[in-house]
Amino acid sequence: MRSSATDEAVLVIGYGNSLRRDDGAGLILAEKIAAAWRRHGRAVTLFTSHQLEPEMAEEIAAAGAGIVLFVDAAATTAVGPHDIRLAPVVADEHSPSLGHHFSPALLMLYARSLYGYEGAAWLLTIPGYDFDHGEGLSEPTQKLLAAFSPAELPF
Amino acid sequence: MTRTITIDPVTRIEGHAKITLMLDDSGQVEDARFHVTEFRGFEKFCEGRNFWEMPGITARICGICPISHLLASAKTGDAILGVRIPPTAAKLRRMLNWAQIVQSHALSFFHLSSPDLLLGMDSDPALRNVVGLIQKHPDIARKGIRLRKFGQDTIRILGGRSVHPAWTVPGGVREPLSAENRDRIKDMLPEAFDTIDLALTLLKDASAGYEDEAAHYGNFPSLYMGLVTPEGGLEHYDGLLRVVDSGGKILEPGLEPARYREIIGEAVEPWTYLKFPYYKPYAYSGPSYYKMGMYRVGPLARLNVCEFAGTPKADEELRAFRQLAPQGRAVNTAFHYHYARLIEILFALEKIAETVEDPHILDERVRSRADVNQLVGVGVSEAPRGTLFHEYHVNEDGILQKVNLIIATGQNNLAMNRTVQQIARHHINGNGGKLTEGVLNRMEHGIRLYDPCLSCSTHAAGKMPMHVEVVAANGEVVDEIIRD
Repeated sequence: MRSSATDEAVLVIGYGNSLRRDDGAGLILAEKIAAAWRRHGRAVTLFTSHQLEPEMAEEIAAAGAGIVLFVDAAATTAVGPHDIRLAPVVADEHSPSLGHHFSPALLMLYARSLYGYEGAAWLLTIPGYDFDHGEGLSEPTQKLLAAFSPAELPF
Repeated sequence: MTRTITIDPVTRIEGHAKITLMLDDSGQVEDARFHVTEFRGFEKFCEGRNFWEMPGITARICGICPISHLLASAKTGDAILGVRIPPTAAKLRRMLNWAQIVQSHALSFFHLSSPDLLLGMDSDPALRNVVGLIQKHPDIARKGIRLRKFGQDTIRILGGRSVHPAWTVPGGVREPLSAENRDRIKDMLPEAFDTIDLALTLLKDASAGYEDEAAHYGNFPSLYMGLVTPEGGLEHYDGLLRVVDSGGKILEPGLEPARYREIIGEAVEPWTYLKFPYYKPYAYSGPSYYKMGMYRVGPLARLNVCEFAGTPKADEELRAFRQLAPQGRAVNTAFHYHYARLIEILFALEKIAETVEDPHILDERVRSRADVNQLVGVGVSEAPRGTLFHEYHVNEDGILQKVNLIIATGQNNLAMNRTVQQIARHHINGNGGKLTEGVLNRMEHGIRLYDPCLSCSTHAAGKMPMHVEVVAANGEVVDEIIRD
């Protein structure tokens, strides 16, 4: 297992739909984090995507980063208002039951089991309040985004 | 300083899918309803935008089949411009669509359905998933990823990026194909052909153990609709609309797609946001007026409506596919969507291989230019899941006044409900309406046969958990299961 030293190379994967208002917050936050780390000379690879897809597992392994950071928006309607949250991603065996959405946990299962990825994986979640069609973020999500500093992350 | 670190699960779920099984007085399954509870008015959102923006906007409905919306939208734009696009542009668009069929069908077969097919519907639920597949067949799991990657990489090579490429536009495509990029696609083909050969062998080997599923998973008469070439061949991009019945009788031999409203109506029900498209000539008066007009779309339907595929290997498989039904009749079992999907991958690869050898594929004339010449445009193409309709009404400045989208998953809605009902009757009747893991898995598999795109059909965001409820004749919920 690689260490989580603050100079370790990071793969940042931001995902969401930028036409569903706050669902696009993960993309913006991922870009903000990647830009900040690059300014400090850290090796960062940035992927942005509408949603997670199985072939990303191969790309995670090929990127050669010690840490994978997923960045996504989450509906507060499901979990209530909350702050930006960071949680470790544990590889999980659940396949999508009906839809086509891959979770970070399933993608990491692919990356570890099929391609031997051994680094750490984290999920950073920003709350979303408005997932209607449209561009631009809701005010509370914008405020959270503006207040967040990548220096707050523990790696 | 670290802000908040938690291991609490945080969900991005907004809606959920639900199946309600309704029992009669004797405890037998009387009806089944597949509900989807998330809805946003995407058509309304588009009103007031310029039609030139629509390929880029509608492609962002979905991350799995953006190309379908891109193509249908660009074709609608072609109609508004009143242009015929350059032949090379049409060939490139077709290649883009075939690449999408490969990636989408590979996702359905290898990642969503193969754990059931290769490990068994009744195998240990803890292992009947992708973990079990990886443990037992890691090479197959990797090959599945590689096949999907072939499709995504081809889309990326053609369109600049794999999701939401802005390359396809009203009038054609933005950039011609370079010789270098053509060769990159060509070089990836042999591995893709090897993988589809393997998938076909795996499915055929596994099918022997699924006679019961083939008999009870969506095995009922229905109509089928899809595009065909003017000669009656398998078609995914253009052509004519054909409708056949389960006996193989051709009801609509070749309707110009822009006239789709003459044969397709859309019914709504209060218990679901999915609409119920139906074949108008078979509707009758009464509360369930539309149900006789049930038709299916997608791979099974496309193989049922065409007379031939048009490529050597796919035609050989199509002949074998036809043997699954009495001579001249349609293959009515939804379980065979799996086989149809693999045949379509094979066809798509053969067509891509043929197209990269086309002497005109590198031509630089790939776009026709015009302004608004028609105030109404209809664009139709075959998405992986079935026929996709875009219809736009614009003013003289090209501003959208009205938008109508008919999505493939919606068109299979009636059939999905009927399939769930059939599976439930077969597996639940006789045990007092008791749900088991195996029954739930089979009902999910029944819906997955149609590979529904809930993002497209309801415009939802996020994954959807499944909630199954069994309701007795007196309205009491006698059993339920919720699964993420």
